[in-house]
Amino acid sequence: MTGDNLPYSVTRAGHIVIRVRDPEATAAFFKDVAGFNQKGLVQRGMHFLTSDFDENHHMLLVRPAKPGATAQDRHAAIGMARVSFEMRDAARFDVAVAKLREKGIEVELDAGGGRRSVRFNDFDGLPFEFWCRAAAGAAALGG
Amino acid sequence: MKGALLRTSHLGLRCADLARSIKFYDDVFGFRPVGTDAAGRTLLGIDGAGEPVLALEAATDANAPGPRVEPEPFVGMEHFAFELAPDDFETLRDFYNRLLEVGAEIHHCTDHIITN
Repeated sequence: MTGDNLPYSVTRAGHIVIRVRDPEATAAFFKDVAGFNQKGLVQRGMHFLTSDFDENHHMLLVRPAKPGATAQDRHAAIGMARVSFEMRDAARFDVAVAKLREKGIEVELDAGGGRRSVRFNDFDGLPFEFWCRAAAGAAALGG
Repeated sequence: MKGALLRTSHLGLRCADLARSIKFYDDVFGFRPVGTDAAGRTLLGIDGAGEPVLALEAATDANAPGPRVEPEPFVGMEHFAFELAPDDFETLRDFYNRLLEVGAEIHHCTDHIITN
């Protein structure tokens, strides 16, 4: 069997699970910055966040790290390097960038290939990216 | 109410052996290159089409330690999930068996009630 004749197919990227020191703070951060919704109870300290509950039950699952946990070495390690979410439009993207800056989060803006992106790290140093499709004729960077 | 985010887009991965990883994601997931980005990462799309779902790069140190997993406590990214079709348990079993065929290590299986 090869990848050409698999009896199944992947339909889409679903969700990312992160382990953090303060799940309440991290969930509040992502809800504020990116407009994530949270539906249902927090279960065993886990926050299920999504942008559209009917479309995808959770896009980001924030769960508590165990006592004594230390951070992965994200620069040198082999493994997951950065997770990326697409925003609905440039206006919402600009709001997210402004909110990140309001919170004192260092942002790295980029543009090219018809899209704009912002890369940042959350409280625990976990690397994220939001991006949107650039409107025709729009300025390259978000400021 | 819909939030500002449209969808989960893609995951960046650092690989000890880039060619091996590209073959693995083709053989098991059906992902194929759709291009490279400005950083030189290999972008993989579902069936080699559409928006990338993975962005692969070679680790600067191929002998670097791999990601930590349970039961070791860590702060960081735990796992990234993809949805399969058809949406039934038989499909998931086919995927599981495919992982075994290629010699992948199964970390764990779980029943989320709403998904498996």
